[in-house]
Amino acid sequence: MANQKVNQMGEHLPAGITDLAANETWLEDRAKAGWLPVRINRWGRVLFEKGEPTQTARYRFQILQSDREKEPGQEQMELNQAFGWRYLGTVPHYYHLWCTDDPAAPELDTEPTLQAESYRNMLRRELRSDCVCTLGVNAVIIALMLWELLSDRGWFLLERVRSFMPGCLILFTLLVSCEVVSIWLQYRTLKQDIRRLSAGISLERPAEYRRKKRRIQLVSWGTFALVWVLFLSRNAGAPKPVGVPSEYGTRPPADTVYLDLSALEDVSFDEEDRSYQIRTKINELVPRMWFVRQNAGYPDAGDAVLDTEYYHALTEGLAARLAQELVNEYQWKKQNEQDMIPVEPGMLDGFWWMRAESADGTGEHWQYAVALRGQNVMGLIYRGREDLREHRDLIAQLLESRG
Amino acid sequence: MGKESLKSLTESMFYVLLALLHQERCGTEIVACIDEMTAGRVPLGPGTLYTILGKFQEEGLIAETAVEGRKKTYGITERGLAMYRRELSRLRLCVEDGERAGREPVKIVPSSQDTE
Repeated sequence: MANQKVNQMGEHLPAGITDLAANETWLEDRAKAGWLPVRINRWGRVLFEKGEPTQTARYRFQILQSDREKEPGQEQMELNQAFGWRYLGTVPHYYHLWCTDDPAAPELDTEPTLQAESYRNMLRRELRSDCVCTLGVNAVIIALMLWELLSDRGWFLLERVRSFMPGCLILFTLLVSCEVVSIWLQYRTLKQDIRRLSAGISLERPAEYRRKKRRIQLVSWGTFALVWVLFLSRNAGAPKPVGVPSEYGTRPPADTVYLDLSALEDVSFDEEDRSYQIRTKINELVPRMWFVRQNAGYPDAGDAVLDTEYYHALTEGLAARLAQELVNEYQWKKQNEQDMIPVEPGMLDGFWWMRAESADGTGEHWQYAVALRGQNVMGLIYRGREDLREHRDLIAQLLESRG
Repeated sequence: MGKESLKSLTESMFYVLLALLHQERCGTEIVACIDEMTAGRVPLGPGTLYTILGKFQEEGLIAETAVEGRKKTYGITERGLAMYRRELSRLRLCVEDGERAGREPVKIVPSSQDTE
């Protein structure tokens, strides 16, 4: 027998897994164009073969009577075949697909009220599946996130604010909204069909599917794109450098928010002997962040180092949370060997401080401080001659001036 | 599947019981019998019939009496007969109510389709 090239193509059901009438109409339209469904797989993907266009083909989905059905029972097969219907395949948990070319073959379902009961069973299964799979998994993820967010330890928010790309929160919200809207539309269609059938009215055929197909494609592709953007943004959200790092003699731009070493130490540092590393970032929750490392040589000997990280949060509550997480992070950096001490804040809303010996065994001491004022938070890591506790008002004025 | 007990029968269900009243039949024979009895007025699709047979078996209204390959034959049970009689009585009452009401003058109102 000569090999025959068979034109085949596969497509997913266009109108959502539970919109039976619309999917049936789509199959019939495909058959009219010469694409004949050969079988359907467990994911609702239909395999078509090119053949003679047929104007009389009818396709019907028959909802499974129980979740455990894998194929039609022998009696069901016998009955349906006796009346001219051919079995094409089964989508597990949902339905069998049948087809006939005989215009005289009776409809599979002639009693709308009985059909409504099958639909109700499908709705119950769909609800159970969505509750367990979609909502259940999301609930576990959200619970874990909330647990991490609400616990007093850790820096859940800080890490995300630092590493996620700007716009991620909006994208994530869009993604969740798309999912919710998609699920809601699916249930709405199903309930409309149930109401109609319960009233004794058969499903309308042909049923509209093109608009539903476009909507589902939009949601699917949009979701896919959003997931990729969210995935990529984890690695693309680092703060952006400003100017040339460590270039001696260059002052930071005027809008940089940092505590100047000169103001802190009250020393005239040689500008040619000073260097800055500056990075900045914006975010939906923290509209402005500045990360500045300063290095300056004392006129006599030695050098001072000051790292500041500044956050202007959207709300005071967020700022308070960021301050707490900064404290947690600084404590963790010192292997939790000592706690940051809350100090009388003065003009600030909160001030925490600790002194720790350098881990490299040089005997140098570093000071760690976190300052909170309104929506502004500043973290400081400092090696120098001053005590940061005595400069709370300076820090407060700096943060106050930022609003 | 929904586990609500049958309180009343649809027209198709009633005729399936009627088809099994005097004789055991298989599915295709039930459809042919109903089609002949009602002169095609009550269509019964194979999917609907399969659902009805399943429901009736669950409720104990019918029972399998023979299996020949894929073909199963059914007969009506005592419970099925009682349900049939109850439904018949209900339908008689409906007809009586209708005929009694029909003896009085009828008031007809125009519909929106009549005025167009």
